[in-house]
Amino acid sequence: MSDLKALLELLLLAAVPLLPIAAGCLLLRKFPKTEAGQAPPPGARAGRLIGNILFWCGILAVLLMLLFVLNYKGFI
Amino acid sequence: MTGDRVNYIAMFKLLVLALVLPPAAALSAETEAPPSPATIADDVPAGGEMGMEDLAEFYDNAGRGSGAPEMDIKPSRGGEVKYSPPRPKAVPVMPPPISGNKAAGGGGNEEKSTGAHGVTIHVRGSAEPLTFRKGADAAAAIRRLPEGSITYIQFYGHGAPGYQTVDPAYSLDSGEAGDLLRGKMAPGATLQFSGCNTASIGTETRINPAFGLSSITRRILYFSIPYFQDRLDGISAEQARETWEREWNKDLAQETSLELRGTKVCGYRTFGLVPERLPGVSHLLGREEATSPGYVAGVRACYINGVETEP
Repeated sequence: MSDLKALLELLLLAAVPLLPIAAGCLLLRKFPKTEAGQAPPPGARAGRLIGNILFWCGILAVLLMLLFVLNYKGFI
Repeated sequence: MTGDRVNYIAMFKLLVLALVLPPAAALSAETEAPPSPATIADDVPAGGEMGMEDLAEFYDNAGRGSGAPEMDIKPSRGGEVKYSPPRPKAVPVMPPPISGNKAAGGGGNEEKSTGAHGVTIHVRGSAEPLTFRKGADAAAAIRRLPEGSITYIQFYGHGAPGYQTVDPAYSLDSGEAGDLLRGKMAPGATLQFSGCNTASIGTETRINPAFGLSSITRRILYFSIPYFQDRLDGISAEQARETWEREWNKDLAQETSLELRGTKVCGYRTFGLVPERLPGVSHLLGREEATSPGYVAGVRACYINGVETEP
């Protein structure tokens, strides 16, 4: 039971920086880019903006964690 | 994503930009500012607790370098996850050469650099700080200093919960730091551990996402991974959990402040990222063998007698 809890915790912690990436991808898929000259549907611009912010914040979070690990390993 | 609707080129450009910009900027950054040498010099009591002969002894060897041994600065702490408390180090009987600005041991041009690490000590009555590349050299010099003479001391190198490394051959835990510095610190002196995770993550709620990511990484590296390593080695789940729950969030700064009553002891609650340590940057800046970190991106915490105080 203790192992299961530790494994679950590890998975949840490791997934934290991936969550915004997933959420960002979902939003970008839900609000696709409109063709030039077409009016975007209501909320599409805000949806895409939030999606992009989440997506790139998630990418930055992964990079930052990578930086911490490299620091831990003594490369930085 | 959205198939061909997503502008991958723009995304790639942004990714490159993100890699170039130091992501650690999100961390609340602090530049360590030790007391200026002039202030320390002005602070010398009329009687002069540290005689000129004592100081001369330290500066007689200025300009001479002992040369750093060829060793790997990268401690590869992946292999040290299951660390045990550092053993007492063998300290040379005679202190090695010490210089004012250039670290002892850094003068050996023919020897391989061991990277940026070292000990910086500000002493009463001295305008110049004493700097050392090797921890054992610094320890030997500290033992020779008069009582109450250190106004500021900084150990710079890799850190982990509960201990600070200076060089690959020298590290300290709170007990060893206490034994080494007890009686040597001046009233109101500061001890700075400039290493990652040398303070606990604390109990304050923070909204800084970089702090959260640092804490998550710390938990994974110092609890989850060693826990599973122990389990694979056949150690019981209860024992492994108990051990690593105790170790992962150790507070070296707080524990040391209890050993050194009246001294302000500081450490980092997060990974302390030093931009000038980045590969290439240290070479460009000529800081490959620096004995102090300069700018550190990290959250600092300070304690006096075990009670948190302003950094």
